[in-house]
Amino acid sequence: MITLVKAEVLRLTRSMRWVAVIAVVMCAVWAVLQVVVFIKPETVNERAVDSAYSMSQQGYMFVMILGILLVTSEYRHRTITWAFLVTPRRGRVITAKLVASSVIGLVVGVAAVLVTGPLVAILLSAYDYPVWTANVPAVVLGSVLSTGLWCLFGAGVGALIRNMVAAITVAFVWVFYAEWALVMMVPAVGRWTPTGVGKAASGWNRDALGSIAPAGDLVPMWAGAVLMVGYAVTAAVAARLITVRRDVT
Amino acid sequence: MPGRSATGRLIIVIAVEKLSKRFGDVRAVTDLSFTVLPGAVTGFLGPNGAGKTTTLRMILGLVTPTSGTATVDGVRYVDLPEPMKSVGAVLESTAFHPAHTARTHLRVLSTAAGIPTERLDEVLDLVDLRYAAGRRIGGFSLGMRQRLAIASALLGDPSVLILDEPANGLDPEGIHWLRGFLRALAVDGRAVLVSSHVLTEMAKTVDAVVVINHGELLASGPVDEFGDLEDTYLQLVRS
Repeated sequence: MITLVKAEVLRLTRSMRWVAVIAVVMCAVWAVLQVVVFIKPETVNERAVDSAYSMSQQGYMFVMILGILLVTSEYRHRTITWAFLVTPRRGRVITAKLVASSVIGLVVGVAAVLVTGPLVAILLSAYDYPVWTANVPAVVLGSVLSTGLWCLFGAGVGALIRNMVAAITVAFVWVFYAEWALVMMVPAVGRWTPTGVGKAASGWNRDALGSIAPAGDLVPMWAGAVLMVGYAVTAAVAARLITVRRDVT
Repeated sequence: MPGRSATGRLIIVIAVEKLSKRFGDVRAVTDLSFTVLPGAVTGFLGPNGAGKTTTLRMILGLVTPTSGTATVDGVRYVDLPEPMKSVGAVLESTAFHPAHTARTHLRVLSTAAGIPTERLDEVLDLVDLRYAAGRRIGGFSLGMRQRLAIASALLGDPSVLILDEPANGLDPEGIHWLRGFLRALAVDGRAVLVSSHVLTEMAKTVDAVVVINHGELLASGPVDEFGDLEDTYLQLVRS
């Protein structure tokens, strides 16, 4: 299994680096905007400082796409044939992809923190705002964790929906429209949706989904992580039962 | 003597038994049985759409048979402990990630299959592709892709080679090279099963043939029993 994961990491790092780069750049841009535009001298407080550091998780949509690409690019370029020839037990192939996507997501999360963290610290001190709060370690750790989890979640979605464009479209529509509408109508489900548990896992819970679900409604950080893994594994198991077993022609 | 063990017993490497595949209402392959022996090149012949590709993909575990079995060394492909070290497959020339270099493609496969990286240069040399090892596959000609596919199949030094229309897209020199290459693999004692619908190229290459049409077996046996292969083939598929 370790060799399979290594092969997956090698495959992805040699072809889809740009998505990871966009994710990290997005985080940096959001962090700059947060400090320069949204934090005002008269309103600056600990939560505002935390929010600036929490921008290192803002690339999560791109990290999810990275996870989707990790699986769907194999179908798109028909290299899945090679994967199944090397490892005819297809469940192992999918498992390796899920593990590899988590590892890659965590690496992207660390990269985002390494770029965004110092940037935020420099900007905050330039504006004479507080540079540190007691929450910063949790926010930083949480953003690494949630970035890894979003990549894993994307891989699960990609395994289930093998078409690259369809998978990305469905994921976007779900996160930006369907989930939103759902939470509007039934606010109580907000803490259980992928975005809700992803937010919970990120350790930064100022608001759950926009301002709809109050922060107190989010599940604990550990439960958010477990649920996010649960969503990804459920998607992967469904994929194994439905799409992965199909003939490769 | 090809196909026989030291004691003279016939060794069957690939065994296809009563294999059938339906795609919805379409009967792609029906009750097909044949065997492939080591130390020989076996031509798998039939018109376009005869069911050759489906059969080869069933042998390789990519397509699930509706009924019947296909085994390599007595076991189904999915049950082979290290499939890359038993069977090499060349399926379609386009199945590469265009952004990967030839070396990256081979590294991904060898890593997953647990094959040492020293083997990469060996297989690249075998197919005369080392000069392009660091280039992106997106810029490869069809012939280069075909050679890379063959190099990939040889990574595990397998005793069985399965090639689906490997001559497609090759220029005359490439076809000449391929013919010599397949012969050399067979002389080495490997079993080579190669599908084609181009008869002239096959007649000079193969030791045995399996002819199918509409998913059913028409004839099989040593090529010298077929007389003029082209005449016999045309009679078979027209009848």
